[in-house]
Amino acid sequence: MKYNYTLDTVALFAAFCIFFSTVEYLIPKPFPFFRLGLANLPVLVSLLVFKSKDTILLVFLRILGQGLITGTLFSYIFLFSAAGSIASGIVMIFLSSVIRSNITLVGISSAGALASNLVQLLFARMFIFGESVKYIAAPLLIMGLISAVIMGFVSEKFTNSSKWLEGKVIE
Amino acid sequence: MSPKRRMVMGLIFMPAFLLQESILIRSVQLAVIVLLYVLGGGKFRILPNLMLVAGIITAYLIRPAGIVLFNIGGFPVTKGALLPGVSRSLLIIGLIYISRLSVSSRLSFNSAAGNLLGRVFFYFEAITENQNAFPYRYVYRKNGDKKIISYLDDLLLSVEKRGNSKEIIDNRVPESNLYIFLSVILVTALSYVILLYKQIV
Repeated sequence: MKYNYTLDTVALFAAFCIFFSTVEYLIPKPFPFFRLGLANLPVLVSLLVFKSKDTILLVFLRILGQGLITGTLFSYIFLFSAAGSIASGIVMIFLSSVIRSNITLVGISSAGALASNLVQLLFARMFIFGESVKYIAAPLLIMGLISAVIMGFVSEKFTNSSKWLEGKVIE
Repeated sequence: MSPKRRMVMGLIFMPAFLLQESILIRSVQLAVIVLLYVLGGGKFRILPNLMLVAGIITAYLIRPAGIVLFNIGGFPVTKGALLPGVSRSLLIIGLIYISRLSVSSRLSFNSAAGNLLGRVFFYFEAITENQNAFPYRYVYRKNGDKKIISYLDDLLLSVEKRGNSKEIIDNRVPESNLYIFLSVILVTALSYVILLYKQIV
């Protein structure tokens, strides 16, 4: 299925990513390293709608916009966020373009979360925790996987019922 | 003040606000920022902000920590939960208003990439200006997920429609106001002086 979209649609999706990350910031977390990954929802939907190059652009706009809006552009939070988003973006785009017919958005989301968390753990080992990172690795990966499965289900539901998406179909 | 200057000022001020640990000083910074925002023509609605503060603090109080300050209907209000809750809520509201003061949908970097980023901020404003942009009220309800999805779908449709109409929605801070510009510089400078003073002493 092909969809009709413009560069402005990419900007719209990036704005939703930033909005979701702002919403996520408001939700108190049981553990500091726990993330719901709400901002991944537009990226997951974009895998169906956009060409790969535009999804890459979306990921970069999301990173930059998020950094500007939250004011973390010059902090280590930005570094972690950017590294995780780029890693998950690459993995999700790869899976989506190579084996899209054999994988659901739940699978793509889970693989993306795994990539993001592994890169963030690597950065955490390099810059913050050192060898002690192994103590947070298991809970981070498990929680990341759980939230990625939920986000995958939500994006599947959205793509199946969205009127907006229905209006964008060209063939 | 031009959009670029506003953005630069906002970016310079943000670290001084983010790094501030004192709740009192952060409250003063927030009050000044909100005042400048209102003086600049922005709208400040008390109720949504109060609800935001109450929501964040309540979420923190659910997990008691430290000394019990008092009880509300048998529910303990603890110092270790209350203070981070207050601090986080001030931070969130402060960041929102600093962003609103510094980020404008008229922001342009005179390049294709800059224009695209300007459009991102335009849409972000359109989403956040929407009443009840995120339907928290559906989260714990039966079939809440379906309602959230249809709500987000409607939001997507309405925000895109607004973008297509080329409507200028930046109705907040007028472009040039020397007093506001000077006040922001003063507040920024003071914030850094306080921050440095606390580091040295």
